[in-house]
Amino acid sequence: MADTADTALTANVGAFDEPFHQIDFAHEGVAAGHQTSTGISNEKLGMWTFLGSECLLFGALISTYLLYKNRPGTITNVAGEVVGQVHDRISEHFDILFTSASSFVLLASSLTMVFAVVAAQRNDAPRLRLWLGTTAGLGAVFIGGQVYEFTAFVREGFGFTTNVSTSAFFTLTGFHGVHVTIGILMLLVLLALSLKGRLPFTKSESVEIIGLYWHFVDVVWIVIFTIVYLIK
Amino acid sequence: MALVTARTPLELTSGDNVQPQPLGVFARPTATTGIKGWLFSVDHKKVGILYGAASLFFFLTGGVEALLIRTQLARPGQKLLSADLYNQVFTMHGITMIFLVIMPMIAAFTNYLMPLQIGARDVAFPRLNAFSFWCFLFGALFLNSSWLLGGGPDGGWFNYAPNSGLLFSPSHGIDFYALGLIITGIASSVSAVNLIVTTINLRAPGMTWSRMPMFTWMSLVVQFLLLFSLPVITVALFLLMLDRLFGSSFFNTALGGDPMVWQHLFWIFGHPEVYILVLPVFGIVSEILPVFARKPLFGYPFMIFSGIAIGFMGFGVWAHHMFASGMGPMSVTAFSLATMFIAVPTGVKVLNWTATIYGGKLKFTTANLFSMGLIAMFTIGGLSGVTHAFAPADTQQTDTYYIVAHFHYVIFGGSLLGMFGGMYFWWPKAFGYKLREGLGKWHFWIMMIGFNLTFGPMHILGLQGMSRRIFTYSANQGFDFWNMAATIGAFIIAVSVAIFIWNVWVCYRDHRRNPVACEPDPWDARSLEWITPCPTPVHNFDTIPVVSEVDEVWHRKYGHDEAGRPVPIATRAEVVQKGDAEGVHLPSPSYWPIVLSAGLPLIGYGLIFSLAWAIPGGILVLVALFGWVMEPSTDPDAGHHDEHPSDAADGGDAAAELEGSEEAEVADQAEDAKTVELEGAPVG
Amino acid sequence: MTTIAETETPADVHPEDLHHDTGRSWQVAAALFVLTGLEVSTYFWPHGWHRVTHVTLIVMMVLKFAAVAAFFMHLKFDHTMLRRLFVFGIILAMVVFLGVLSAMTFWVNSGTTDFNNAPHERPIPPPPTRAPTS
Ligand code: HEM
Ligand SMILES: [Cu+2]
Repeated sequence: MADTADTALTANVGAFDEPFHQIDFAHEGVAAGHQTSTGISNEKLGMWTFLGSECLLFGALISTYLLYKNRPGTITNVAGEVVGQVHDRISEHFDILFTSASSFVLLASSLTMVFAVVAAQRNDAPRLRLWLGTTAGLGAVFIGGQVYEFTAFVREGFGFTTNVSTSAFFTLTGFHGVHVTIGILMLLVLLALSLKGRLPFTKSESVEIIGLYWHFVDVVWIVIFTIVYLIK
Repeated sequence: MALVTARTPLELTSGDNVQPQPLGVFARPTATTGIKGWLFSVDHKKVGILYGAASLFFFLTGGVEALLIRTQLARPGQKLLSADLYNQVFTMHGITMIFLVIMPMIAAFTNYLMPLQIGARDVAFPRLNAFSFWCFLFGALFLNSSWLLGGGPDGGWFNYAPNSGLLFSPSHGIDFYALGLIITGIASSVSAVNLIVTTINLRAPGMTWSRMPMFTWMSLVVQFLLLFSLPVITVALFLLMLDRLFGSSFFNTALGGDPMVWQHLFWIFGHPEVYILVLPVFGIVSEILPVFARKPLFGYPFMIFSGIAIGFMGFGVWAHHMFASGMGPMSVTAFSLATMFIAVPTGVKVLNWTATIYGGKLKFTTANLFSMGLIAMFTIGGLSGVTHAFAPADTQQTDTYYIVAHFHYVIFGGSLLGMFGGMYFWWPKAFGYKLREGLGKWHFWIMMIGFNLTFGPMHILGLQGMSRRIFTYSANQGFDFWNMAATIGAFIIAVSVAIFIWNVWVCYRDHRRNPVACEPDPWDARSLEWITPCPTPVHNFDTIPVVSEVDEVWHRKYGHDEAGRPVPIATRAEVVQKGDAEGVHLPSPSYWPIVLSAGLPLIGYGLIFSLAWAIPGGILVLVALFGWVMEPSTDPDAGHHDEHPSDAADGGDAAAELEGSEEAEVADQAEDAKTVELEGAPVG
Repeated sequence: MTTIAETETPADVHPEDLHHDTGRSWQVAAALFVLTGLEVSTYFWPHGWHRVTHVTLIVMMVLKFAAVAAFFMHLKFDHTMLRRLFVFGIILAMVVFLGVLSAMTFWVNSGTTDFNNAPHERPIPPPPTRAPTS
C-alpha cells in the first residue's frame, strides 16, 4: 500500500519543486494554482474515507442479520427437546415485488443524482435544483415505501421484538433507512443553499461529495436487496 | 473529475482580526485567550492540550478505582467493597483506562504533533477536530455520571452476555456503557477521518511517505485501525442497547439470541483496539530513542512495514480471546496460528529499537529512560501474549490473573510508560519549559518498581489459579502473599504519579514566576516539529519548510565527514524558525463544535430515562448543525473567501456533520421501535 | 497510476466530458435496470434451481455494485488513492465478516430446519430458567 502511494507522491514532488520554495506563506497572496499533497480535495478524501468505514458498519449489520435470520424457529435444549416456539422467520413474509419497486426507485435516484452533479459542474443552477429536488423526492418515495413495509409487517404480527429474526431485520433496514433519510436532508440543504444563491460554482464539488454518499447508500441497498430479500 | 479549488494545502485564512459577521446565523466567538479561547478554539494545538488534560484527569479517576480494587484484594475476605460495587469499580477502571485515558492521550499526541511533523498549519477540518474533543469529553462525563444515577456498568469492559443482560444487570450501568461508548466512538471516528485526510493531504512539499516521521506513520496506521474497527463496536453496542432498552433479544439465549455474536463483534473491534493503544506509543519511542542515542532509527522502512503489518494482521486474530468459548477446533486452530504470526512484526520492532540503541552515545534523560523501560516491559508482556496464543495453554490461563498480568505489561508497561516518555520529551514543545529531570527520574524509577511489584506477581497468582474479576478470596487458597505484594506495588505507583503531578506543578509555577521560554530544540532533535520555536507559535511555521530528508531538522544541523561521523553545519538557532511571522491566517473559532457535542449526552439520557430529555438534546444538535453549515469555517470578512482549508458549507464537512444527526435520527427510530413493540405480538 | 494528482479547478472541467458523462450514465443506468429486472425474475425461478439462482444473484449483485461505484461514483476515473481506500474497506469487511460467519458455522447445514443453528453434535446449551425482567 505504502509504496504505490509513494509513487503517486513522488510524481507530485516534481510539481512541488518550483513554486513552493519562493512563496512566503506567512504573507498570504498565494491564491492560485496550488493543491493538496495528492490533488484530491480534503472534503472528497474525507468522504471516501468515511465511506470506507461505513463498509464495516454495514458488514457487521448484514452478517448479524444473516446469523439471526433463521434463528430460531424452535428452541431446543441439550437433549434436543423442543422447549420453546417462536413466531416464524420474517424472511418468509417479504413482499418481493413491492420491494423490487422500491429498489428501482432508489436506482433511479442514483441516476438523477448523476445529472445533478453534471449540472453543478456545468454551473447550470436551474437544472441542478431540478435534479437535486428529484433525487430527494425519489429518496422520500423509497423511505415512504419502507415505512409502508414496516407497518405492513407490524400489522401481520411482526414487531421489532417478535423474535430475533425480526429484530435483526428491522435493525439492518432501519439503519439503511436512517442513512437514506440523512441523505435526503443533505440534498435538501444543498437545494436550499442553491436557492439562496449560496452554492456558487466554486463549491460545486459539494454536490459531487453528497452524491458520493447518496450512491453509497444505493450500493448498500443493492447488497441488502440481494442478500436479505432475494436469497432465501 | 476532481474539482479542487485553488488554494495551497497549507494556507489558512485570517483568524486574527475576526469580527462578528453577518453570514453566520449567530455571531461567532472572537476570544483567543482565557477560558473562551479554550472552549471555542479550533487550533489543533489547543485541542491536543485539552485532550491531554482530560486524559490526565480521567487517569486520576481510574487510578482511584485501581487503588480501591487493590485495597479490596489486599487480604482475603476484605469488606471494603461489596461484590456488586467491586464489579462496578473494576469495570469502570478498565473502561476509563482504555477509552478515557490511553485513547485521548493518543489523540492528544496525534493532534498536537502530527500536523507539526508533516509541516501543516492545522488539521484538514479544524472544527470537526474541536467537535471530536468535546464529543469525547461529554461522552466520558456521561459515562461517569452513571455513578450518580444508579450505579456504574458492572459487566467488565467486554461485557459478555448474559452478564450484560437485564436479568443479571438490572441497573442502568450497562445502558450508560453502551451509549457512552457510542458517543465517544463517534468522536474517535470523526477524528480518524480528519487525521487521515490531514496526513494524506496536508504534507509539506517534499514530505513523501518515505520521509514521514515514525510517530506520524504509526498514528496514521492507528487512525485506519480506528476507522475500520469502530463501526463494528458501534453495531455491537447498538444491539446491546436495543436488547436492554427496546426489548429485542440479540444476546438472550432464552429467546433465541446468541451471546457469541456479541463476542465476535466485540473482539473484531477489541483486538485492533489493543494495537490502537500501543502503536502510537511505538511511534513515540521511535522518535525518542534516536534523539538520545544520537543515531538514526535502525531500519526505518522495516519499522513502517512492521507497523502496517501489525495493524492489519490485528484484524485477523480477534477470536484468540474466545478460545474457551467453544467455537470449534477449526476456528481455534486458525486463530491460534494467526496470533503466533502477529508476534513476528512486533518482534521486529523490539529488535530494531535495540539496534538503534546499540553503539549509540546514550543520554539517560527521563524521556529516554521511559522509552527503554517500555522496551523491556513491553517485551515481557509480548512474550506472555505468545504463551496464550497457544490455545491449550490459554485454556489454563484464560480468565485468570495471568491475563491481567499480560495486558498490564503491554498497556501500562507499553502504552503508558511510552506516553510519560513522550510527555517529558515534548513538554517544552507544548509549553515552553522542560519538566525537571531530577524529579522525572524519581518518577521513572519509582514507577518501574511499583509497576513490577504490582503486575509481576499476577503472573504467579494466575498460574496458581486465581480468577480475575472475583471480589475476594479465602485465606486457605495460597493467594495472600502475592496479593499483598501487588497492593503495595499499586500504592507505590500512586506515589510515582504524585511525583509526576508535583513535577508538573513546580515547573508550571516556576515558569509563571519567570516566564522565559526555554531554548528552541532543547534535545538536539531530529524531526520537523522542532523547527518551530518552543512553545509552538499559533501559526506553527513562519514559512513552510521544504523537506528533503527523513530526519529533516537533524540534517539541517549536521553533515557528515568522510568517516560518516556527524559534523555540525548549522547551529540550532540558525535552523529553528523565529516564530515571529505576522498576519498568518488561521481558522476562526466556533461555538458549534461544543454545542453539537452537548446535545449527544442529553439524547443518551433521553433514551435511558425519559424521552423528554432527548428533546432539548435533539434541538441542540439541530441548531448546532444548522449554525455549523451556515457558518463558513473562516471569517469571510477577512477577505479570503475561497481559501479556507475546509469550508464547512462544503459537502464533505457538511456530510460528516450531518452524520452527527444520525444520533437524533436513531432516537426517533428507536422511538418507533418502542411503538412497534406495543403493537407487535410480544414473545412470552 | 495514470490518474495522478489532478489539479483541475472547476474551470478545467471540460463540457465534452460532461456530455460524455450523461450519455454513459444512461447506459449504465439501463444496465442496472436490466440487471435488477433479472434479479427480480429469479424470484419466479423453480425452487430446484436454488444453487444456480444464488450464484447468479451474487454475480449480478457484484456487477451492479461495481457499476455504480465505478461510473456513478467515478471511482474508475478518479484518483487511485480513493479507489484503494474504498476497495480496502470492502475487502476488509468481506474477509472479516466471512470469518465471523464461518466461525459461527453459518455454512454448515445442521440438518435442522434452522440451518445455521449448531449441528446436533454440538447442541445449543439449555436456556436459563428465569425469563428476563423486561
Ligand atoms: C505479542 C503480541 C500479543 C499476543 C500474541 C497477544 C495475545 C493475547 C491473547 C491470546 C489474549 C487472550 C487471552 C485470554 O483472554 O485468554 C490476550 C489478551 C489481551 N491482550 Fe494481548 N497479545 C499481544 C499483545 C498485546 C498488546 C500489544 C496489547 C495492548 C496494548 C494487548 C492487550 C491485551 C488485552 C487488554 C487482553 C485482555 C483482554 C481481556 O480479556 O480483557 N495484547 N492477548
Ligand atoms: Cu487480542
